[in-house]
Amino acid sequence: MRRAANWVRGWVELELSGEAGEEFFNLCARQNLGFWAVRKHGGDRWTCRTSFLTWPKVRAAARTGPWSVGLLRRGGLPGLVWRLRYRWALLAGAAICLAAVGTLSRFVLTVRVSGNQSVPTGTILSQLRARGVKPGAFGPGLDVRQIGHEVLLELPQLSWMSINVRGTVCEVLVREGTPRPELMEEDKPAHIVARYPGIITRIDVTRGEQLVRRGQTVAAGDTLIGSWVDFKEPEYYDGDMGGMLVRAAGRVRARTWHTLRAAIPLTGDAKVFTGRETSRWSLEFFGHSVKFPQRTSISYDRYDKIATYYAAPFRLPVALRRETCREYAPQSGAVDPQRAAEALKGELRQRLDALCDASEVRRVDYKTETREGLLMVTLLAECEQDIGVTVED
Amino acid sequence: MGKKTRRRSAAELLAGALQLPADAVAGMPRVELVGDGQLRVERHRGILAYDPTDVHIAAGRLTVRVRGLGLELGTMNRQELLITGRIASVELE
Repeated sequence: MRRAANWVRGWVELELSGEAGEEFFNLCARQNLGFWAVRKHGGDRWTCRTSFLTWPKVRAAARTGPWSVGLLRRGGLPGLVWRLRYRWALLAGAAICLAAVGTLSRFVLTVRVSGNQSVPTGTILSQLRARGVKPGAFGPGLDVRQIGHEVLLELPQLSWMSINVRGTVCEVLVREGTPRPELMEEDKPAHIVARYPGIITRIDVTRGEQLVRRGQTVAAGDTLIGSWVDFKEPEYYDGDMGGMLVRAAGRVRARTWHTLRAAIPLTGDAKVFTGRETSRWSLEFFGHSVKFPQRTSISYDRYDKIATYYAAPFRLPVALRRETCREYAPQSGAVDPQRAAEALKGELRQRLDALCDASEVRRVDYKTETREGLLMVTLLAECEQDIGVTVED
Repeated sequence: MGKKTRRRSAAELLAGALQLPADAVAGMPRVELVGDGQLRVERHRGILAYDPTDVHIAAGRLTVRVRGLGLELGTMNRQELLITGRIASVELE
């Protein structure tokens, strides 16, 4: 570090001649003019080094005595600039290079989003892009605070956003908000009814009137726990004590059976590539596309468009884009029944999981049949699950 | 005949009596030898003679004589100077 600082400050090498050179150095030391690498070359000839800024004072000190000093060479950064003082093109090139690095490093090349879990990164990036935060944007020109506020208004799922532009990287940190829980209106009367038909295996009433018993079969929509609680009249009392309306609460478990069906045609269209293809090249630069002069019309009726990017191994906002149009012809073919059945079973299982938790499923059976050119798969599941759902009066 | 003994100054005597560092109290030069390659002198008064084999340094009431080979004045300013090279002996006169 010290050597680097000395190099930036620069130094000069002097030649001193005259009698009693020691006195000259003592004089310089008294004036606090530092020097180093003093060498005596015989007779009255000396060489030494001093800093670039001290050199005029050393020369003035030499004039006060019988000494003469001459400049042998300049070193360090000032010396380099001095040697290159007539090389205008080189100096101008260095200056332009420094200016280009200084200016171009202020442009955003990468936008990184972190901290999001449920909100897709693409959604956040598109909102930022609409407000100018994208590769190629001039960093100091972005009002990051205002942009952050605007994006938060557009995306209510986010609770906080911070946009930090550091050099060519724009770091976007987000925090997602916690959804407000649905508040129960305890004062509003409500029943608990059955979501699915089944046989009751357990019923726990917290509030309300129990209307079904264990082992009883219920249909979907049947009331399981009623909102009207009837007060029991005491013995030998002929009047009606009445009752009260409450919001029914409790847990009702039941054995349920679900039947789900899915079908797929046994024949379908498939793409058969003809082998003919056309490629077009373009240059992607800071999000803009520059197409190379070439034929743009495509003579194929049906084709797939495949884009391939050729970029540098390090991250740059420049890439070559190759767009390949590959012709295909539709061709009817038979569907593999086994694979189709597996796909349908997977789909049915997903639908069953949406109806009840996997832990509640007791048994699952699949039935596969072919009918009228369709492959049909039927899922039969037996579950034990909560079937009660609150329905307000 | 032996060498003439240098008279100590009052400040030196006081620093010795009070067991204080003489270089700080009496302004005595401080000579520091690092191996046989470097000699640093603080509070010097200048160079009396300079030669690659023999350097005489004024240090107040003392003269430091450095002998050796390829002696070079590494750096010098008002407070201190540095002699580099192959130092064979240091004498105080």
